[in-house]
Formats: sequence, structure tokens, C-alpha cells
Amino acid sequence: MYFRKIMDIKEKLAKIKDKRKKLQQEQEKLRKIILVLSQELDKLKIQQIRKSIK
Amino acid sequence: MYQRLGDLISGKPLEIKGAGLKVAETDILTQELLNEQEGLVKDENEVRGLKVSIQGIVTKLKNFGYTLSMVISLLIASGEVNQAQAEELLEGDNIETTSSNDSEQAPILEEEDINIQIDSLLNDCNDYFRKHENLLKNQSQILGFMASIEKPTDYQLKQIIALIDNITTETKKQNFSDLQQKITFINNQLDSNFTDKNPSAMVKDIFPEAEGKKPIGGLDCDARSVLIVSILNKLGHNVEDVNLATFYGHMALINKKDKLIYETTVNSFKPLKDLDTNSISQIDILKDLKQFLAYNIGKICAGQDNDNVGLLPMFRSSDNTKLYKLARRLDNKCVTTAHNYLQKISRGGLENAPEVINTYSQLIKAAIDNIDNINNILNDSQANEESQEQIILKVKPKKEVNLTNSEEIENEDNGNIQVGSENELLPNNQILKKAIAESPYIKYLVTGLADYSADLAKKTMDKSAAERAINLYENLLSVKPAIKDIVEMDPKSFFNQKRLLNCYFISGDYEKYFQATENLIPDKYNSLPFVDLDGHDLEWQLQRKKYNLEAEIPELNRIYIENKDLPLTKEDSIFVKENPHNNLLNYFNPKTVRYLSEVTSLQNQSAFCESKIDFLKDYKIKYQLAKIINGEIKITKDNYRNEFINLYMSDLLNTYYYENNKDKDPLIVAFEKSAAYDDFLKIARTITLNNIEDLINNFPANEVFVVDKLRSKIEEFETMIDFLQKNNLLEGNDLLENEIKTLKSIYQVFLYNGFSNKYFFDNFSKNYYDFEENISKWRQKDGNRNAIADKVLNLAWYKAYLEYKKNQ
Repeated sequence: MYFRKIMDIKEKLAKIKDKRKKLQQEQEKLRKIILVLSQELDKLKIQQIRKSIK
Repeated sequence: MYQRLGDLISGKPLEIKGAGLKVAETDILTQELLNEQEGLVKDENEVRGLKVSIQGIVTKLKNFGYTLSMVISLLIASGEVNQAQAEELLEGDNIETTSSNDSEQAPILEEEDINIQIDSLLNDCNDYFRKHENLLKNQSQILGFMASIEKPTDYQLKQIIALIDNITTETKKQNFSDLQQKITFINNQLDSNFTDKNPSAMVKDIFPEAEGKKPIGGLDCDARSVLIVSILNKLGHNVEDVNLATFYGHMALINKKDKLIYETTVNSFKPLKDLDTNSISQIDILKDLKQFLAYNIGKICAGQDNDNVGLLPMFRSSDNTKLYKLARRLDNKCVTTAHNYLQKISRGGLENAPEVINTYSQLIKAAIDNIDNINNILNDSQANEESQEQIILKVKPKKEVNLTNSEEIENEDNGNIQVGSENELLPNNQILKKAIAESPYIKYLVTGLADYSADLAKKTMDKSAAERAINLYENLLSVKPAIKDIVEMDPKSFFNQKRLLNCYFISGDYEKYFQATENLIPDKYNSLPFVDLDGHDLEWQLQRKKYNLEAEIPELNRIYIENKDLPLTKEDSIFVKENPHNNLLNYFNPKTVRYLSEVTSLQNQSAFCESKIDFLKDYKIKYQLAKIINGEIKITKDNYRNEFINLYMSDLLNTYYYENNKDKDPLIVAFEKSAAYDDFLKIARTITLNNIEDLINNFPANEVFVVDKLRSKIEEFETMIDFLQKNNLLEGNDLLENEIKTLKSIYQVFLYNGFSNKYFFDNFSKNYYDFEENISKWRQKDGNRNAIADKVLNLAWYKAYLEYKKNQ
């Protein structure tokens, strides 16, 4: 069952690769969201510092 | 690339794709599986970590008074998630739920009438002007506009005015023989550093916000142009002497009287007549406040989209589409604003499609008009008439700049976005062809609209979008340089050609489809004959070329390893000289970079060969299918097997059958809707597979060598078919669809076996499971068919395959 074994592994590999691809897409999305949120937070922090200087 | 680079530096040879497996396949696969499993755990942890980080930032935002709905708005505006996904992401965070007052607090522009927004924007500018009237009253109108829009701090405004006043005084002291000399002098006085690495488009940014702070940047084309015009204005020059002109992402000055263009960033003049048509087609000469505002609002929007620069409260909008619309309403010919807007909306969903098409059409029309406008100036006609309408540079000192005169803006037709269909907006084909030939910028716009329409047609099967794309592509192709691109096998043109073929299909113009495909193939591959002297077809030749290219990589690798420690050769030096901007050169040995560059080039060429092979396969299938749909070939019982082999064993239908109809090819959709599909289904249900000779005879003549190798396997296969027939299991009219599919799988595996090992292997694994699944369904459905299942699982071709693998 040499061939069968290869097939089994390949199937598992395909599934894991697919899952990883989805996870990596999810990571990419989350990183972009973090960027947007941190930019907003930075703006607020700068405003706060400006106010405190005045 | 980095990994490869690391390997090279450590002296480890590159792993070459397709170089052959040296260890037992299972060992490699097992190792790969372990690596992947490890990677999976890491990826899962990373996602969890990122989610925790988001929760942390949200809590901090909450401390600044943000509500849940404000955070959700931010997330939606990031373009990464929709409402439901944003809510799901924030689930578990214990910030307060949406309050009814959220909409009032959220920094998002409300759905307001665009006129109210224009008024509000102008009021906002006017407020600033009034507050700073004392400083601005003796200044030029354009400076007043600039300040009202940019809103510099008091300190910055005073500095700007002091700069203008000083230079005005200095300039008055000098004697100039002409205006050009005067402008050059002023520009030098502003800042003689013309190589500033950090220029800013905002005039205010050249001064710090307050004393003791640092300014944001130096003068760029916009800031220089505005300041020069302000000073000239104070010196008594008006529109007849100089105008502000915007290009795509650029600003310069135009002197209509002397027909000169002044490039402020290099401080030099050029006759307008020497300007190429490409630049001319982008010139938008600013004549009034509306245009100046439109340009600046567009600039601010782009700033928000790309990199937040000094946001004003008025512009605190996470969705600035409305602001863009407002700018477009003020001046729909403003090239820079239109492009920034397009960049934003063309990435969005289908709901933006009419707006994208409209914007492209307006840009194309404006670009063609711009050529006429400049020609008119060059021919001296209309220049004087126009100058009377222009208000921006009038020298008359005004006590108050009336910026809230939006009625005037509304009453002028040319300030409104044209609402006609894009066909009305687009010029006729003759004008379009001439413009494409003259201006690469117009060619770029037309290609952009054609590509967008073609993609839209593919997504929606919309005939009118396909027809628009066809018209535009045909115009592009009728212009010589575009054809040259195709002959040179420019990948972009290659993919455009594929888009065009799809559009012919969607529009139902099969005649054109045949013509185009027939014309395309020999043109496209003119470096390779259609069939060579040995009878090898194009696909075979391309495959060969691809292998040859790939074979060069190990050779290159060997040469590199042998020579990498030797001193740089002449070729290395030439490479460095020709690629001065290659950043990698700053960090790595040029020899390594040159080597990698060559490897990349070989890989690219090989990948391009592969995409052409795919195209050819696609083409062969689509060509036949087109004929079937068009009724030129009728599917009959006699020719069914031929079509069945050519069409239904193709990759095209693999997508259709195996991937659950995702993203169906327009051809398949067209086929399903055609009368031919009914014929196909009818015949497919009645067909028997009793004549293998037919199958052999239907191979193209130049693939006879394949058939020879296959013949022994075909014979084995025939015994299986015989068995099925003897059991009366393939005869009659009762073959169900999944059974046809199973037979298809068997056939497919059988056929692929002969073509190439790679295809066989790839497809076998895919089909094998499908095949087994169907067999098990058979078993469940009908106990009598167990015998077939057993027989089929011990198929001759399967044994032959194992044999083949063993011998390899």
C-alpha cells in the first residue's frame, strides 16, 4: 500500500496547507486592523500631549 | 528570496525545483507533514496573539472615550472586515454596548446633502479667513484660499506672510529683463535647495507649528507654485501672465501669453509646444476657487487614504468617499483627485462599478479636451476670451474673500458631475484611437477602463460591460504600439488578450471569438512555429522551452558556487552600473545579486512559458466549446466521445465538477445555457463506452507516439470495459450522472497516464478519491454492483501505474 500511503499523506498535507493559508490570511487581516487601531490611538495620544502642553 | 539569499551566502546550493527526488518519497512527505503540522500550531498561536493585541488596543481606545460602535466604524473603514465580522472580533471585550448617542459622537460624516457639505466646507474655510483677516487682508487671494484650506497655526501663517513680504520687497529691488527671470529669482529666494528629500505638498509644513519646533518638510511642486503665484500677484501680475496648472500628481505654472511652462522643482522654463502629448493630456489649468478647492480637498483625501497628514476636524471622516465626491463636484476634471478617488473606489465592491466607469470615462474625456485646450493656447485662439472668466489671480485687493458663495458654484454647469451614461461621455472611436496613439496616459486610462469592464463582465456576466470592454480593447489594439506590445509578448497584453476573448464570449459574439483566437495564437507565439518540422505542436514546443530554461538554473548555480569567491568580473561591474537603484546591492555582493537576478529572470521566463501552455490548453478547449455553443458542432452520439474527451476531461471542467462550481468560467455558464447542453446531457445518459479504437483514433496525429506507448495499457483498460459491459452495467439509458462522473474519472486517469508524469500524478490523486467515493456510493446503492467495484479497484491501469512507479 505504498501508493495509498502517499495519497493519505498528500491528502493530510493538502488539508493542513489549506488551513494554514486561511490562518495566514486571517493574520494579515488582523495585522492591518491593528495598524488602523494603533494609528487612531497614536493620534489620540498626540492630541492629549498637545493639550497637556497648552 | 531572503531564504535563498541566506543559503547562497552560506554557500549552500540552491534547491532546484524539478531536479528530481533523491530520498524515498514517503520520507520527504512525512517530513513535510511534520513541518506543516508544526507551522499550523505556530499560525494558530499567532492568530490568538493578534486577537489579544486588538483587545488591548480597543481597551486603550475605550479609555480615550471611544464607544464600541466607534471602534466598529474604524474597523469597517479599514476595509478588512464587515459589520458582522467587526462585531465578532470585538466579542468578549467588555466595552459598553452601542448607545443611542453613538452616531452623534462617531467621527463619521453623516449622510448629508452634498450641497450642505459644500456650504459647510466653505463656511469652515471662511471662518478661518475671518479669524485671520488682519494677517491675510493685504495678501493675494490665492494665499487666502490656501490658508483657509490648510489652516496653518498663527505662528506658521505669520512666517509664511513674512516670507512672501520679504521676497516681494527683494524682488522689487531687482531689475529683470523678462518674467521668466523674475520667477526664477523668486523661486531661488523661496529655497534654493531643489533636491530636498522630504518635500511636503502643504505650504504650512515648511514652518514649524510653534516656535522652537521642527517643520515637517521642505517645499514641493505644489507649495512652490502657490507661493510664487502669491508673490507675483502682490507684484501686480495676473492670469494673463501666469496660471497654476495641475497634472497627474503634480503642479506647475503656465504662462499662456508667452506659451511657456515653468517647472518649479527644477527652476526652469520650457516652451509649451515642446511638451509631449502625454503631459499635455493631463494639464488642468486652474481658473477659479472651485478648482483650487477641488485639487486641495482631493489632496487631503489622498493623505487620509495613504498616510494621515495633519487631519482637520472637518475631515475627520473614516470614510472620505463623500469628501471625494464633493471635490469631484467642484471640479470633475481635476486629474489628481479623480485618480485618487478611482484608486479608492475601484478596490471596493460591485456597487461602486457605475461610479468607477463614470470616473474613468470623465478622465478620458478630460484628457482629450486638455490636448485641445493646449492646442488652442498654442494657436492663440480663445486664450484671451478665457482670461476674462478667470478670477483666481486677479490683483484687485478684496476686503473680504467671499468663500461661501456656493450658489455661484451650483449654478455653473461645468462644476457638476455629468450623469450621462459612460457611452455618452466617451468620445467616438476615431477620436479615441487618435488620442491613444498620441498619449500613453490616455492609453493607460483606456486600458484601465477596459480591464475594469472586462473583470466586471466576468463577475456579473453583464453583456453591456463586455461590449464596452470589447470596444475599448479593439481601439487599443488598432493602435500600432499596442500591437507591438503583443508581439513582444508583454505579459500584460497577453492577459488583456485573454480578457478580451472572455468578453467576446460573454457578449455572445462567437464569430469574433473565433477570429480573435485564430489571429492571436500565431501572432503571439511568432518566435515559435505553430507546428515544427517534427510535427510537434506549440504546446509541446513551449513545454520543451520551459524545461530547457529550468535546466539552466542548476548550471548557473554551479557556475556561481565555483566563482563566488573570485574577484568581480566585467559582467558583474556592468550589472552594478546598469542597476544603480537595486537596494540589495547596498547589502550584498554584486556577484550574488547578479546571479539571483539571472535565476529570477529564468524562473520568470519559465513561468511565462507555463502560463502560455495553460492558455493554449484553455484555448483548444474553449475553441471547441464555442463552436458547440454556437451550433457549429452538434453533439451527436457519433461525435460525442470526441467532444467528451476534448472538453470534459479538461482542467476547465475539473473546476466545474470538483470544486463545487466555484467561480465558474463564463464559457461553462454559456454552455449550460445553450441548447447544446441539453443535447450533451441527453447523449451522456445514453452513451456506451464500447469502442476503444474510437478513442485512439481521436488523438491528434502528432500525439501518435503517446498512443503507441499507451496501447498496451489501453488493452488492459478495454478488458475492464468489457467486464462492465458483460454485466450489462454500461448499456442502456440508465446511467446516472455520478456514474458518468466516475467513468469520466477512470477515463481521465487513463488518458493522463500517457501525457506526462506530472499531470498523471497531480490528477490521479485528485481523481482517485472522487473515484473511490463514487464506488462506495455504488456499493451502498446497489449490492449487485459490488462486483464492479472490486473489479474496478483492481483495474489494469492502476496496476500498470504501480509498475510504472516501481520502474521509475
